[in-house]
Order: sequence, then structure tokens, then C-alpha cells
Amino acid sequence: MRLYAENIYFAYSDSKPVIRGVALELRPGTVTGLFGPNGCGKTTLLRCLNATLTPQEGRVMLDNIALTTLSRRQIAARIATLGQDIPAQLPFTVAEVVMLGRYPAWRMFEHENAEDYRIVDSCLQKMELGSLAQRQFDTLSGGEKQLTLLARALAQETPILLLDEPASHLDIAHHLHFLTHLRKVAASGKSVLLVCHDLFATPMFLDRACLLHQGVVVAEGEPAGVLTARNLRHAFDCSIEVSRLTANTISVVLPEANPSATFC
Amino acid sequence: MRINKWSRVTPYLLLLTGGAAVLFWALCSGAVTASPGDVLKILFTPWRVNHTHPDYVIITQVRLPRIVLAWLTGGALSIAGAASQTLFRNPLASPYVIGVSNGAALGAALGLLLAAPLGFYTVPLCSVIAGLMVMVFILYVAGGKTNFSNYLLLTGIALNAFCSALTAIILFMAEERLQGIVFWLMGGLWKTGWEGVWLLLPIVCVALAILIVLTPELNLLLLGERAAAETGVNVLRTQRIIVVVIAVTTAVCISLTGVIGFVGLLVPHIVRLLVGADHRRLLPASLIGGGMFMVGADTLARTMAAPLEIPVGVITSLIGAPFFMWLLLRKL
Repeated sequence: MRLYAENIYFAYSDSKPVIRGVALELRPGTVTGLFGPNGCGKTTLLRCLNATLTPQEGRVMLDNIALTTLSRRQIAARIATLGQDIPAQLPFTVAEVVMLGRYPAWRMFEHENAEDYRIVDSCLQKMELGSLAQRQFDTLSGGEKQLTLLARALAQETPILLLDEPASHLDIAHHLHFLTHLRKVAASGKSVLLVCHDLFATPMFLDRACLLHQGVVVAEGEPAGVLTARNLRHAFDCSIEVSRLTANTISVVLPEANPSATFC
Repeated sequence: MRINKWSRVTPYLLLLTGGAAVLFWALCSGAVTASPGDVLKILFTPWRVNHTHPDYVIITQVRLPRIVLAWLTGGALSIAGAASQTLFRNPLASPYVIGVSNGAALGAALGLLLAAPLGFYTVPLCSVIAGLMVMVFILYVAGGKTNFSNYLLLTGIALNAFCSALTAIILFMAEERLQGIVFWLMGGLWKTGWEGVWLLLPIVCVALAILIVLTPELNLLLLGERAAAETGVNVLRTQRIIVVVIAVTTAVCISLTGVIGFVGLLVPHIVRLLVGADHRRLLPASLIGGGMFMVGADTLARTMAAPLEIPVGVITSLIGAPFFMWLLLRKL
């Protein structure tokens, strides 16, 4: 299933547009990284892509269907979203939280069956949460909570995954494990959009990258072609050097970063 | 995933046995003490009992309707409380917080002042109309806003103040009816018979049925409005249905019994400790737990200072408030 945005504009009421003419396509079997400075519209764009926000201009299409013609449930059966917010309180066990992701698959009066339990179990295993299954969500660490919510998004078993900074609380090992898993997800024909700030480990796991700046796409394509020193300097307004390690691996360095500089 | 079946069933067995015990105690005690044996006879073999015997009349025409109504009110308020705690994702929420209780009380007070002679159903009707008007106003102000529950809470504060002020004006104008209205406002079940039961029973059944159908959505709302929407819930529609259910059940309860505090706030918390937060277990358990609490409190209300009767709202707040504070301290 192909999700694409055609020339969308979005403005929150009574302010200037946050998204200004963005076109973006998520192809099956690819992981796309969405980069950009704080406040450039990454999250807003993601919310347009799952129709929780409706662009004032342009449209978001799923194959040949406009997203706005689908119900929330129909959308959730096709697009799983992991937002940035981690609920402060959620009085469920880890397994129960993951089971919440099975909701779009149920009809009215329907609830979990053996198949759902199997899916939840496998999602827990994928995120290495098997041993925490019966723990209360509220007692988990930030990273464990994030993995649980990620497992919940995976449990929706959708062809499209939109992830908004899903790894911000993960340690390096879990981060790498998670990125490796995303590659597997993509290999099974799904498309993944990953909003993130990590320029060090993430790029080598991506098929495509998109760089957003003030609501406009600066560059889109192969990660090595998008995440160039020139583009990154332009988007982040900060001195950045990029050296290419292999064909698809880049290393970002900050030559002028000066720890003793004072911010005043 | 393994689930221990017994750990799921035990709390219900506890609640049901406790509930049965409270019911039986309530039936036996009162101004006229009936022996447990007689009560059992009247309950289970009514055709063998003399229907003109005072014990029979007292138990079937006075105590039983009152107890059933107490049970339904407690259960309904608890369900409404549990639903509003989920709706606002706020452990301190209850029908009072959105202003529905005070709105319904205002309607009922107005009904008592002006329309009480017109018949039994006028006061509940006034109460429901006022409750629904409050709700429509809330939806007008808060509906469609992205942070619905914040707006609801804030609207509720304003509405509470406004409705309390109007109720005070009614009290000021009530003159010789003042005592009746004040007593009713304090909350009590003394003026009840089977007609109240037949009014409340279908409403409680429908409310519970609607909420049970909506349990997956209620569970998902605990994730937050945005995450629930992203997982496929039609958030606005679900919230509206829940608000209507809360408003109508609360308004009818209030019109029959006056303002009874703390049941809707306290019971869902205790029940949640017993059965967990999954609404499929929480809502039925709230019906049992809330009913049990209310019947117990009402029995205390009519026996503690017999032949005088303490308003049951006083008892529920007197027991409920310290217990709730203990619960808060324990959780921290």
C-alpha cells in the first residue's frame, strides 16, 4: 500500500502555514527518515499523513483513496502511528497495552481471540518485552514504555507505520535492535516513516531520507544524497561536516562545536 | 499469555457475597426489626405468607423498594463516576466535576418548587432536562476542541458555580417549601417506592449496556485522545455518547435521591484496586460495589439515630471522604 501526500498546505487556526507545499511518498518495502530542526513541521506533517489533521490544501492518498474518505478505524487498520507522547498514567499491564493495538481489527461487540493473543505475544517478543508482559505499564522505565507503545503500534499489523521519534528514550543497544527490526518490517513489504533527530546511527538503516525546513522539503531521496553537509547546514543553521564512510553510511561531525562557548 | 482465571473471578465472588450480606442486613434492620427467618420466608416463599401481616407490608412496600433503589442509585453513580474518570483521564473526575450534578439538582429544585404537585415524573423530568441542557452547553463550549477534557473540566467549574448560585436563589424564594428542598438537596432515600425503581432500572440497564458495548473505546481513551484516534477510535462520537450517558443517569438519580456525594468518586477507585482498570471488568464491578456501598450507607442512615433519619448523603461523605484520603495517602 502506497501512502503519498500531494502538495499539502497546513496551518493551525489563525497562524501562518506550518506545512507549505509538501509532497512525500512512502513506498512499500522502504524505511524513510524524516529529518529537520525543531518546529519545522515534522510532527504536523506526520499528523496530516494519518488524517488526524486535515490539510487546507492538497491531499493525502492511500493508493487511490483519499484518506479523508476513510473512517478512523479504517485508517488505523492501514496506518499505525506512534506519537511522541508517553501517557503519564496507564493502569494496564504491558500485554494489555499491546492488546489495545488490536482494536482496529475488531468489529462491534468483538474482542480479543486466540489469534490476537498470538499477535500480541509475537510483538512482545520482537521488542524483547516477553519478560515484562505482566508488569504494570506505570512501573516501567521511559525506554521500556516506549518499546511497549512501539509493540502496540506493531500489533496493529498495518502495511504503513508512522513513528514520531520512537527511539528518543532508548539506549544505544535497544536503538540498534529497534532499527534492525524496522529493516525486517520493511523487508516484509511494509513502509515505515521515521521522524527522528539522530544523524549518527539512523541514516545507515534508511532507504530514503527527507529533510524538512520551515515546512518545505529541502531535499528528498537517498540518505547519502539528502544528508549532505550543505543541506544539513542550511536546515539546521549550524556548522556540520559529513564524511561518507561507505556507500550508504555517513558520519556527521560538528567541527566548530565549542563546549566552552557561552550562550548569551 | 497466561491468565489466571481464579484471580479474575475471586474479586467478583467477594463483591457478590459482600453484596448479598449487605442486602440481607439491610432487609432485616430498621425501625421494626424482622427476624432473618421471616425475611427469608417473605423473600423466597411469598405465597405462604399472610399478605396483610405488618412485617410483609413493611418489607415489600417500604424496605425492598428503598433498598433496590439505593442499590441502583449507588451502582449508577459509580458507573457514571468510572466513565467520567476515563473520559477526563483524571482520577478526581465525577459527574459533579462537569457540572451535570449541580445542573440536575438545579432542575430538580426548580421542579420541586414549581411543579411538584403535577405528579411523580415531573421532578425527574425537570432534572433530566436541566442535566441535558448543561451537557449541551458543555458540548457547545468544549465540543470539537482538541483538548476536550481540559475544556470540559473548566466549563464544569463555571457551570457548578452558576448552578449553585441559581439553586441558592431558589432556596431563597422557597419560603414554606424550603425545608423539603434543603432536605432533598442533602440527599436521602426516604421518599421512595417502587415507582422510583421502575424509572431508574431501565435507565441503569441501558446505560450499562451502552458503556459495555463501548468498553474497547473506553480502554483506548486511557491512552489519550490523540493516540486513541490514531488507533481507530472515533473519539468525538465516543466522548459525546459517554457524556450523554453520564448526564442522564446522574440526573435521574439526583432527581430521585438528591445530591449524594462521594459514591461516584470513591467506588470506582476501590473497585479498580480489586479488578483492575479494564472497563469490561470495572463497570460491572462498579455496579455491584456502588450498590453495596449505597445500601450499606442508607441502612446506617436509617438505623443509627432511629427513629430519626440521617440524610444518606451525609453518611456517604462522612465515610467516603476519609476513606478517599486514606486511599490517596496509600497510593503516594
